[in-house]
Amino acid sequence: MVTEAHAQIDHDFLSVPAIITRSQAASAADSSNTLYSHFPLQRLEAEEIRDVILHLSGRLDVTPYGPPVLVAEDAVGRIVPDKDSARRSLYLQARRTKPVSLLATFDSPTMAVNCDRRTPSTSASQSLVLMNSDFILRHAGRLARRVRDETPAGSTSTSDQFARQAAYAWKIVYQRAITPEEAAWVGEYGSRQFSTPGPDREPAVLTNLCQQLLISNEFLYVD
Amino acid sequence: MSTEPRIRTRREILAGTASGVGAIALAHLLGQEGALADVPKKPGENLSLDLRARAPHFAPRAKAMISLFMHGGPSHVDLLDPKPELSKRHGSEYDGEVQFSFVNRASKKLFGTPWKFAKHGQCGTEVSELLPETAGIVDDICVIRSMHTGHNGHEVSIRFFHGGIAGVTGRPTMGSWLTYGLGSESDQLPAYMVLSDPAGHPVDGTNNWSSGFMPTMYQGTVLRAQEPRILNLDPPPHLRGETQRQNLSLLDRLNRRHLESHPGESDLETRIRSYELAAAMQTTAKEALDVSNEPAQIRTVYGLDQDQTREYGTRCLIARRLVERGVRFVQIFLGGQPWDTHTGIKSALPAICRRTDKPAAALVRDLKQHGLLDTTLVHWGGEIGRLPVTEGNADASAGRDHNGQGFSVWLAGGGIKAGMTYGATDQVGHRAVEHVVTPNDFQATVLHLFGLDHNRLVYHANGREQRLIDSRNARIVKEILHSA
Repeated sequence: MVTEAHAQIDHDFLSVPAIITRSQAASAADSSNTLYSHFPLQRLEAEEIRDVILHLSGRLDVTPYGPPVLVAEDAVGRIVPDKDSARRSLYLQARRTKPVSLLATFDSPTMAVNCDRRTPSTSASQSLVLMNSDFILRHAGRLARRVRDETPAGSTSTSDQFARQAAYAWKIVYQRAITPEEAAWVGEYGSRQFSTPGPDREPAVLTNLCQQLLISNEFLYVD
Repeated sequence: MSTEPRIRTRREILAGTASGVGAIALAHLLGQEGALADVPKKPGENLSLDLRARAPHFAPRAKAMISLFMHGGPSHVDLLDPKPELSKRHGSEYDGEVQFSFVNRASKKLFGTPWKFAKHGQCGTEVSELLPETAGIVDDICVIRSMHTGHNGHEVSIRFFHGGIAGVTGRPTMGSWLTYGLGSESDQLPAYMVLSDPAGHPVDGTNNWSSGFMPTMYQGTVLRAQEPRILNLDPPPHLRGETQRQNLSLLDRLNRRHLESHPGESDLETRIRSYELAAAMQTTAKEALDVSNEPAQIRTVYGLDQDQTREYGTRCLIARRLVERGVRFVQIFLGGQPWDTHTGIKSALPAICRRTDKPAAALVRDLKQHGLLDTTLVHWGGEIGRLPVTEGNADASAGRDHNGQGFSVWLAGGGIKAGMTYGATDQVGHRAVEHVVTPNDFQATVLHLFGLDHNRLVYHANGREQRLIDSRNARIVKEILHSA
């Protein structure tokens, strides 16, 4: 895809080791950023979190214009887009009485008042949504399917293939190569998870791995 | 790290420690040295937007609050505010000015209570026969008979009680302010919890526990009436146990490596901790909500053995269990507004009393028995009261219309003087005339009991300083406070 090719070029440019070393030194010397030595770390906003997860799972619908996507209460009382719509969050109906639960959890503006500035918060309820919600789990599954389909088969061994899939997941989620240290963690994680009994282990383990990437700080914050 | 061209505070040095040890030490230190954290770093800044426990402005009396919110307007002249003069003049025309909400059913015929009042306890507080269990705890409570919102509508007065300004939405509720000001005592449970009714949301819905212009971490966590009690609390079965532990352990490694390359970014550490908290919540919350292990005697006191009290009693008992585990603010709501007795008050009012009287009284008794009443403020009350005149015909269908001019609530524990009544309405119970208490006075008093000065608890939003009572006149009702 064009956007990913661009991201890859940007990534190659930014990953020049000297620049990284310099920026890390700057961050350490000026940790509260009084000298503006680095771009301040920012958490993705609510809409960005939803949209980028939809994008990675291959579902994001970028159709412009048209009427808003209606929102409705699901069986347990969460406000969700009608028919699991994958349109950009910008197009979700903003009803004062029905704030979309996922977006509200990540500090989308309250419609009852003026919002001159968003206040990003960090809470356990956000963690619970990221760990357990239907939205995240389903899209982690879709991302895993995409990773499986797009990783060239190169080995018959489960652990080798898992390592190749992980490397590919790193590339599309973090936009960078997996480090040897991380690859070792993934190997260890994979061997534990594969030894846990259960149906469909391969897709299940890859889904779990993809979920951890989607809910990790490196993914949720831009720097 | 030491090349920074200005003096660093202790907090920054600690925050700059990227290792896990630093994170733990930081949380510990801030918990212990809350005094550091209760002052924003710069003018115009908010307290740090997290849930770490913070010290109040001065020594508190209350550590937690349970509010039994009685939506609809409990009829004070039939429950907590005896009016012999009203009974004497029953059926005659009222000569005062009355504002009606339901004009087509309005009348000015005075309506004396159909129920008997009697003195109870050592203190002799008079309570109606509709509240026999509340009558049994009068020596532990303070009945305020002079509440006044000045507005007869439900929503307008509800919002006054929750957000500090009559009728205005989009403001943080009192629970949000307490959570913002004091943080959480519990590492494993939300600080502000709402127990919703099986019949659905109360009138005014989610505004009742909104954090308004504050971040959503300060809004009430709604405990649903049915399973799942807390949304997203449990992973699906295939992710539970060992699999989830492996997932979280990989996540923790990834996050800590990321933190190492971003020294000093405290938000990253906070988020690492929030995953630990979320995982702990999965077991703690489950355990806190399970009343099946409570002794039979306790279950009976709350009425769990009777159909009419089982549901509300269970929620009152859960409230005690939550407070016991460090939850700061628990509010129990009823579906819709069952106290809104416009018609058939003679049958409707006893029905809602039967559902709530026993559990509410049991809560006070039980907190006392557990040694928690001294530090737990209990509130019972609605947003308005009801008129002393008849709505509709003076027969079985008779009711009472809204009245925000004068009504009763009761408070117990948490530094409130026990066994007293405070304030008074006029001879027929229409308007508060003596020691009038507004929702803002109530809020200032509650904050005071928690050791917070309502003028100093400030949040910056929409370009100005915001306070719970929005800088209007409010007084701490000192007369009802227990002298320490």
